[in-house]
Amino acid sequence: LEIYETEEGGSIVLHIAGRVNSVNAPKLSERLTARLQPGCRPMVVDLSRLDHMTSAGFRALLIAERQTHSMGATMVIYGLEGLTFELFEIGGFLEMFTVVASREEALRRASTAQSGD
Amino acid sequence: LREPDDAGRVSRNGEQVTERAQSLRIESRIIEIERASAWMERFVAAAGVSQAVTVSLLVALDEILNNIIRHGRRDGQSDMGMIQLDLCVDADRVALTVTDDGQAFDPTIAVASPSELPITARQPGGVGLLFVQSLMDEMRYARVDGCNRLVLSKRLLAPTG
Repeated sequence: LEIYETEEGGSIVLHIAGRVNSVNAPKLSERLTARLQPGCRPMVVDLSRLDHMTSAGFRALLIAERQTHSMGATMVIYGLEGLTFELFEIGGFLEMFTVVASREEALRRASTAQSGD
Repeated sequence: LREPDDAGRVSRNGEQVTERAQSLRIESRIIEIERASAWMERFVAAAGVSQAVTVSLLVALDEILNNIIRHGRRDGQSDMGMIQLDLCVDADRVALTVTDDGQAFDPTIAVASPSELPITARQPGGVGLLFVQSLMDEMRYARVDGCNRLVLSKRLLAPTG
């Protein structure tokens, strides 16, 4: 698991690469939680370099989503491919998160949501 | 085939068929999932299993072990449980048998699809088993000699026709 951040178009982009499983999901959760603060910039989560993610990773994302929602912030996910997309579908997660197809769309959605507040 | 002991190449009807089996025992601790995953990955890679099948197996292994380790100990059962993994790759499928001595639990009993539940009732906990049911071609459960025995099997090739 490798997590790194970039800043693009006023958003924090969290790139999650490699594998998210039961052992390392707490690291992902910590990282997301640390980033989500009141008044924080919109967050974009890039999963395009993810090898695979188990339900423990989805739990971490779900906790972050609830936190985001409760503080009126924004989290947009993009880069779902192959098995990752399949698992989002199977778990009913596509409708629980804001999921978009491309990086450009994710940045646009994130900045629009912020200026619309 | 780097390790001859590891591989049992047999000839069946003049065809080279690889039949292999290997076992691993792990302690019932979350960190052990890492060792189990590395072991399985090494083994199926040596057997020439595709990346797509391997990834499905890794997700299923993680979900099943996570479930056993977090929920499998009975109250008052304080000893560190052991989990036995048996992996067998034959010509057309990979079979993973997971045996543990925790409380009886049958994960093959259908998990409700999240789309059938209200959003507030959806929990990732049940989602793990839903992933396993969706990714594996077969799941068989039996309670044998006070142990849970779960056999997961995945076909190596997509079904034709």
